[in-house]
Amino acid sequence: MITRRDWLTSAALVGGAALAGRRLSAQTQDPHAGHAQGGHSHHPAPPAESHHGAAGSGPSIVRPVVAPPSRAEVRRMRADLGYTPVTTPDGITARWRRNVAWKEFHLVAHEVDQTFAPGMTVKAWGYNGGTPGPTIEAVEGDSVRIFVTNHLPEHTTVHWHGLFLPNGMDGVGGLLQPHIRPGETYVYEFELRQHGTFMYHPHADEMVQMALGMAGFFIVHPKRPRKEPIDRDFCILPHMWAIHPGTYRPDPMVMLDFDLFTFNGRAFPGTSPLVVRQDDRVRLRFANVSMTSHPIHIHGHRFWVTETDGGQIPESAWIPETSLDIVAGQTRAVDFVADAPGDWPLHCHKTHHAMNAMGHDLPNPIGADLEAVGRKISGLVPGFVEMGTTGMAEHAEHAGHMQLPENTLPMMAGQGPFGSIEMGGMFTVVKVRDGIESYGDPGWFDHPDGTVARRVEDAPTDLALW
Amino acid sequence: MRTPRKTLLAIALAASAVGCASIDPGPAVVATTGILEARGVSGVAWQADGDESGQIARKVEEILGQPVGPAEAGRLALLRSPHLQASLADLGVAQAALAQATRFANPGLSFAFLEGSGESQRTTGLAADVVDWLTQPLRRRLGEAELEHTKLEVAAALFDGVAAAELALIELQAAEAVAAAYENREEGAQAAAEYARALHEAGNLTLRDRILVEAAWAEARADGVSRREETERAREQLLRLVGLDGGTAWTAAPLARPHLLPSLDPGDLQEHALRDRLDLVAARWAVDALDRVRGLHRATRWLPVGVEIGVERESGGGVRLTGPTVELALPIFDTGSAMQAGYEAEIARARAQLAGLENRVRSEVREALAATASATDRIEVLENDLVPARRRALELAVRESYQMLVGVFELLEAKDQLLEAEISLLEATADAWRARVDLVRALGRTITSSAIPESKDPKSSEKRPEPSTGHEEMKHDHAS
Ligand SMILES: [Cu+2]
Repeated sequence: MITRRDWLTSAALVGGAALAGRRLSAQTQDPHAGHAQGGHSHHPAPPAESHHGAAGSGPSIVRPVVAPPSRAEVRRMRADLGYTPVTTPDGITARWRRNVAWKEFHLVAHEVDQTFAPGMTVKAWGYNGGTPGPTIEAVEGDSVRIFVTNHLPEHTTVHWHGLFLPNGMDGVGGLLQPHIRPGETYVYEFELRQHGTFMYHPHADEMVQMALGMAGFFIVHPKRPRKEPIDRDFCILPHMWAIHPGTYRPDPMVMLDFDLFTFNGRAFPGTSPLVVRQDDRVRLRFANVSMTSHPIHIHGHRFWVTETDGGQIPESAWIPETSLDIVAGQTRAVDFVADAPGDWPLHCHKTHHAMNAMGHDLPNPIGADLEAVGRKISGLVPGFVEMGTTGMAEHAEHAGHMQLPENTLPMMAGQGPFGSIEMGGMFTVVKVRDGIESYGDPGWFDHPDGTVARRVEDAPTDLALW
Repeated sequence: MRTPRKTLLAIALAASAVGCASIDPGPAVVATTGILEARGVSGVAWQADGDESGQIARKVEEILGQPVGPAEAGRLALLRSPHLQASLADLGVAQAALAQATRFANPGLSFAFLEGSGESQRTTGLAADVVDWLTQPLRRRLGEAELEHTKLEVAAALFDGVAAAELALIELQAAEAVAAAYENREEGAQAAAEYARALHEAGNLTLRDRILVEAAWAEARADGVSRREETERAREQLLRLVGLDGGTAWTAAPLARPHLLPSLDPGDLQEHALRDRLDLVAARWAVDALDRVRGLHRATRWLPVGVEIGVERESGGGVRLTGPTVELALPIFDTGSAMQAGYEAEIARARAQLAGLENRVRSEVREALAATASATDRIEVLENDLVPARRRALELAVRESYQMLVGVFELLEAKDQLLEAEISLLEATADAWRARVDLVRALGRTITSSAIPESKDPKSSEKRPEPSTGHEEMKHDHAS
């Protein structure tokens, strides 16, 4: 069993991890290296502990809780690394160590219990303690060596989505390599010959394995960064799930009726806000391995689409958007200057993707006169409450005091300073604050006087009709 | 070896020692009551003189003042059932026949008046005083035997009448409980229909969908009508059995769980049944009686006076003795061997029937026990598993409805499934009661919650009937 003291689980945030990685660059000799299929005996290997555990039983990896960095720390890391390290909200960045010319990483595939939001835990499949897997971060020109240990109950592989690499390193099981059987560790080695936002995900039983949560970011920073440095660089993986209300495990059989939608394995109100300082140059990176597209929309700003999977778009070709559709298999990066202080939603604009589970096959009560029959039904079915004739907002109001099905999030939730936010799923808030020094959650926005919509007594009598 | 002459002499001497039999059926009723009490059935009301004191009416009123359960229905039958009163009257008929048979004929004409299988049969006797005098003891014996037989039959009729009344009450309880559950189902279907109508009127449901839901309500209403009719049938059936008219106000107790039986050894119970079942007692009586008739015939076949006792088969398989007929004839050509062979065959038949009945009784006990056990098992599954599962499913569906995961139609369907499970439990409960009545019938005695009590089995009331062979000492009876 792997404990949280092991090197691959103590992955701390960004620069801390990088620094620690350097300190940990011991030349461990792997006694099992000769047995590893496709391996070469001169390759160093991850510590022996990671081979432990029966195939499929899965290690108990618990991700550390990492405090948000201060602005000063981010600057120091940027100076140290030559790039602004990415932040994966509610996720982690992979630890690495230098081994001569190689940057070494280790992905462990296993089943994870992940809290999508308070009140809902999911038995997903992921890497290194969660889904999405740790964000791998490197620089154009690096040679990376990535160990992959399989603790799933079935074989897997890792495909490095969008990267230029030797054909045999592309990770397609059967076609390009043997499958990584449960309990086995494989190693992938290639040089990063491009920069951009990439992904990794299995290419073995991939429908099941991605439906259960297996994917992660692979960020390659350019060797020569742009002149204006990025202050905050976020990776967001929108994903959708079929976790039927009252169950715990994603159902890979579902093709269309997905009922749960997440940013980085969290559903609102479980998503953490993206905290930026006013006038920070912010980058948002998206990668989609789900079965449909997600038009991600930002409030109060417009962003420039600066990157595709193919790399940076020349500045002359940048286009401004407030919604950008991220289709299946795509990555995109958008940049914007967070010039407007406030709490700005960032969400998928497919409305059912920005709420939590609800039925889709029940009679529509809106506008029906159901008061009398509702009372009758309450007499027949104890606990029944007639709802929905005026719309569904009352479900969000009632969610707090009604007993919901087990392991099921209210379909609309979240309490804001003015009431119920009535959202769910792929929804988070970009918190832009003036003059902050820490990227910890600053709380709700303190609106300047006269800048909040208000109720008035007298509505115009002659404007709405003509 | 006893000679025919000696036998004839014995008959003559015996006859001289006895008088006429009483016409009072009271002792026969008491004896019959004793037979029933030995089998756990008490409270026989004999209304031969009507209910002048109003005692019976008061008891009936008292019973009807409370919700009526199976035991009370049985008591009502004993108090009021005209059928059972008619059966009791059979005792008077048999007693009268006995009294008549023991009378000495007036000079001239004489009649043998015999009662058999509810038909009176009048036979012209031989108009000879000496023969009448000679056969009087034999007639008395035969009459006494028939009276014993009648007591068994009446006791059996009363026992069965009580069981039938209990069963009818159980059917009424079950029908009423099921009808009430169907009324709940109807309410659910109505709510669904009203909901569908409101949705359709709001523009949210197609007309076809609305009509489908309304059709389901109509179906539920039709079912409800049928169920209510069943309660009326069950009620009338019971009223007929206990002899109440429709105007009397009373209610059946709600269908409750039958008390648990102690663990009963099936072998013991079969032995009990072989001892207690009145049809077995009657079948043994038949074998015995035929055996004695054969003995009598053999003993008198060389006499110039031929005594014949007829054997009538009853529809139930029993036998009834008729006669005696007496002929004056010299046994020159007919030595009675054919008649003797006939008696032998009748005996063989009665024995075979007895053996068959014994086997049937044992089988019926096992069957009723199996039915009891199976009803108990079903109750356990339904009560501990199915009904709680349906109830829990409904609760969880309600929770899901808060999330708009299920709609009203699914909720009402879950409620209907709960009602269906509860109806199954009611049916199983009624089956447990039905099996209980079957077991009582199979055992030939009532069973209590504590144990199967030992039969008191008073020998006096169930002594073997004795068609006289003339060999035994005769008992004195009330002189007429
Ligand atoms: Cu979406």
